[in-house]
Amino acid sequence: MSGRGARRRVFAATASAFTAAVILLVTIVLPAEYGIDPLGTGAALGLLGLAEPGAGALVREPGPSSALEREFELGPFESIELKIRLAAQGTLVYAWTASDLLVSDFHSEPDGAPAGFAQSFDQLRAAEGYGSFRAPFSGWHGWFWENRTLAPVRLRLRVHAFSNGVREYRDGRVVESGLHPGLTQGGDPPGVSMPVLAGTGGCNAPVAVSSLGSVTVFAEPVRRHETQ
Amino acid sequence: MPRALSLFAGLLLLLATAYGWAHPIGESNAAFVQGLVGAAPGPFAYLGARHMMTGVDHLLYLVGVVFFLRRYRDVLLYVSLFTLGHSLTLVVGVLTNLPVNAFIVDALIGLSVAYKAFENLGGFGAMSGLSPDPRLAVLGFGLIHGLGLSTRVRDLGLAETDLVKNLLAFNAGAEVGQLLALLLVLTLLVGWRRGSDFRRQAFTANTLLMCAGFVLAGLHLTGYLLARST
Repeated sequence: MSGRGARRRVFAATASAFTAAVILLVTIVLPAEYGIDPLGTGAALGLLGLAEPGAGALVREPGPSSALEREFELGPFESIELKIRLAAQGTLVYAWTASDLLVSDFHSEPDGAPAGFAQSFDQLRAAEGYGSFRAPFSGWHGWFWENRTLAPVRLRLRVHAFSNGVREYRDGRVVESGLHPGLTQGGDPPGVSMPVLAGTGGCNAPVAVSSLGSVTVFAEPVRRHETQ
Repeated sequence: MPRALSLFAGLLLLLATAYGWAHPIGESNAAFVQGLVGAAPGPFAYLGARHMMTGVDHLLYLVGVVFFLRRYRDVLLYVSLFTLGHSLTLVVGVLTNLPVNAFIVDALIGLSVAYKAFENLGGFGAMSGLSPDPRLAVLGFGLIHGLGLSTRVRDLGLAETDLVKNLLAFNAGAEVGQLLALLLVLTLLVGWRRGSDFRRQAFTANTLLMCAGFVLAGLHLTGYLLARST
């Protein structure tokens, strides 16, 4: 191969590689990756949505959310579970505080899972917990709390959720809502929100598996904030 | 036996690539890894291997490097030089928290692909009469690829405890991933070279490789400019 012919071939190859790269970048890659679309090709090919920051950050819900506020008193070594019905991607925001340390386990029972199966997401021993949860699957999602002290502990829970059901289990029995005169009716004015995603330092607690046999759905005590 | 191994590697690579494209660097991975306490060689080795097998930039560079290497001794030499380079900067980059810009490093990695393709086209001999030592080049670009790996590891937000162990596990995983990818590439190349039209196709293939390198470089350079302007 002659020197000049080889040089021309390599030059042509490099130039065409560079030109093709620029065309690909401007017409497809930059519109899709960064939303930079000087020729409108990204819009024509429907690529611009890929580059929108925080795509999927907002999730619309079919109905209004519900606020739930409960107070419980747990005697020594007494435990309680409260679970909330969430569809996949359904969200809840919660805050709970207690008068003393409680063992807490947030876990979920996926729909269709064998009885007694629960996936645990957070275990801690604390006097408070704040956070938000987006359900990875549809099912019942909520807390197990146990008082491991020798004195009664008061627990106050506030949850805001896109939910259509609440279940409460206490030592194998369904607890009726009437047993909790501490249930406050006031609630927060809209706009006063609970802290979100504040991690509470966790320490190890045994996994609490919800193995309660009889489960009854009890009447929906969830109030609605019509103003929201 | 080598053929069966290559077939296995190819299958893994396909799976890994499909997985990587479906789940670009997962936030859940980072969240999971941050939740780990102490040494966790398994997850880190896996992430290293997956990064190497799903990272199109590393794969394309490897293809360029071994494209014309017919002797296994040469393959071993070049791949060892590349490995030496990227292991060095991966470890040093993470441990010293070297302040490198991930966009710039990624753009340079893209250019490394274009450089290697240009070299494969015989560009240096034809254009300038210069002939930079390709062994030196593969070592140098290995250093840059390692910097790229180090930015990925730092993005995972690792705890200081057992950092070295986790880092070495990531590195070991990356080498395994590279080896598996290499087995597949070599198998395909050996078959391709037997074809009668290989020389002409090789020219086209390296032109395409160079184009891909330019696209990667342009992508990350734009990312750098955007990040600076905001």
